[in-house]
Amino acid sequence: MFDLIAIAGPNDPVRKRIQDLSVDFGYSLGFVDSVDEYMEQESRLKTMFIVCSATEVKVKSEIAGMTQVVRNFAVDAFIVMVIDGKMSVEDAQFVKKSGANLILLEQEAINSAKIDLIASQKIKYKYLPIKVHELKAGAQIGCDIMHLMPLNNKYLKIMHKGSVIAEDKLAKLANYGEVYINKDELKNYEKYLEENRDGSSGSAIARCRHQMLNLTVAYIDLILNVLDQSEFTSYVLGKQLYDRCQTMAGDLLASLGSVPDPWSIINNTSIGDFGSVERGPSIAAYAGLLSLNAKVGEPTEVMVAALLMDVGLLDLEPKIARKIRQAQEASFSEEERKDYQNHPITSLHRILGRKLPMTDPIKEAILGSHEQSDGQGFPHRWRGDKVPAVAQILQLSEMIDKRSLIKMGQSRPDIQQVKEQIVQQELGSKSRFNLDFIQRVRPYLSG
Amino acid sequence: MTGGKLLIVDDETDIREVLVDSFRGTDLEVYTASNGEEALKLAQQHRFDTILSDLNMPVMDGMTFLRQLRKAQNLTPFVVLTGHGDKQAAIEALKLNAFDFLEKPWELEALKDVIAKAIELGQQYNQWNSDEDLVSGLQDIRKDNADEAIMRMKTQSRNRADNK
Repeated sequence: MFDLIAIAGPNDPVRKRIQDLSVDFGYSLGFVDSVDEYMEQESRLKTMFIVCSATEVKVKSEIAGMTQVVRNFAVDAFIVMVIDGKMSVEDAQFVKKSGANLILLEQEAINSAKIDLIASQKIKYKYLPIKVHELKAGAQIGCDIMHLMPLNNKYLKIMHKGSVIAEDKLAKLANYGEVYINKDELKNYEKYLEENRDGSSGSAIARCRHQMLNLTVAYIDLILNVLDQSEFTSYVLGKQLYDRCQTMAGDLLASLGSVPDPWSIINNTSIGDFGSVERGPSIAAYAGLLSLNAKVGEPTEVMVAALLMDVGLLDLEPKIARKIRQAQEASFSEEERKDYQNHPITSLHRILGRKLPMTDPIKEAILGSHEQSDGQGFPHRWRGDKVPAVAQILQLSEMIDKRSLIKMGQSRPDIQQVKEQIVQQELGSKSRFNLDFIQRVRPYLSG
Repeated sequence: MTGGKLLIVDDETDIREVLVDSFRGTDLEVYTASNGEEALKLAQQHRFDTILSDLNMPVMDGMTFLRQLRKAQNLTPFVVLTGHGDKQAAIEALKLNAFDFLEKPWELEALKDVIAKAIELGQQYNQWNSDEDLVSGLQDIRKDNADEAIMRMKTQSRNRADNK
């Protein structure tokens, strides 16, 4: 089974884009030139993620027919249809009803990082990590349990939904530390946790982790809605997803307040690649803790701002996104740097475009999330007190997340050490943060 | 790579030595054999995580060795070393339950990558060998990889033909 399949002619630029994507992320890729060829080879080409280029189809209503054919063979797959220009609302709705999960304009598919995020969510993060020690021998598990084989980039099903966890199997799993569940089965796992709660600190920690995962899933749904700028995307749905994120952020923050070391829980539960918008939930969780304890802003709102502040990164060209992922910002060309530094503005435009109900201070915080009080930030090079305290919370949280992120071939950094380093290196007299802000957060980070 | 036992099978001493050298400094335990018969005996004595084998060998060739292994219910991931003219044989081996192939002359990085993946799979086979369900899941992963390898081989051939 391939990680993804591209249905695109040999000279179609979408084909090159998907090929680059598969190389960048190490996805296995199957190619077919046309939907007809896909039909012939479908049994060999099973996958859960399909990008189908319809850029050469001039009669837009025919695209729905192509979609139906692909959907017919790939019942459970996530299908992205790529089109070459605007289509009428009716045609677009018909394509969606025919089975497309997302419609992207050719320009968006080729010149933005949107498809990277979707592929990552549908392939790499299709499964979410849970801790083996949350599983109890003798209990019935409500979802499939998978083991990640990272070198093969494959998941092995270790336990079936409904099976009782055997003691010897659990003992073997102990070495893994983490196992995985399908994102779609998160509710079943929640039920399992509830049924096996015992009032211990372990149960409270498991609950926090679960709420982090819940927020992650809700957040990605919101992001997918935000990046779908087509006219036929529902504003009502966007508002519902936004509200859901806000509720889940509040629930998570309440739970984090009831455990002894919330920082480690966030650090150990976070998922997503370096430099991607997928880090949003971890940054939001850190931001919530800082906001609550340093009394800066309304914590849940701050968390939502942290979730959405980097959504503009998805509009960057793939080559810029690649450099960010590889921490090679130093090699940006002048133009690339300018594009990158504009991303907070793009984030805000995206959010406003979807009519999400954000307050003005939060909008300002997003816009100022990469500004520094020494004037070295971007995009507007605000100085001193012009940078809102909430914006500084967002920036500090992103810094904590970046420094505590697990890197390939290295062990996970100790979050306590990361906090101490930040206090010493970033919260001194010469700082990107302003003095009043430092005085508010320093005691909490030092503690 | 985190440990594991690798068996290298090739009738040419030089090739065996180069391959063994490639894994020096890793924590792999490497064994060698010069033909399928010798390798089969070793496979009865040890539980390997991966076998890397040439196809054309005297006494017992790689394909017969693979068949004998599978006949003995030994599912150790099998990586085929192929020469330029062995494409069809390699495809046959992949269809016969091999894991992947490497074409001579190989690149060190490609060799290490394919062996690391095979070892990871082999360790899982050895960990879960008494659980039919899991073994069947591992077989699916092996088959997926073999299918991808066949497609990769066909693409490489097509690209070479296009370049000519």
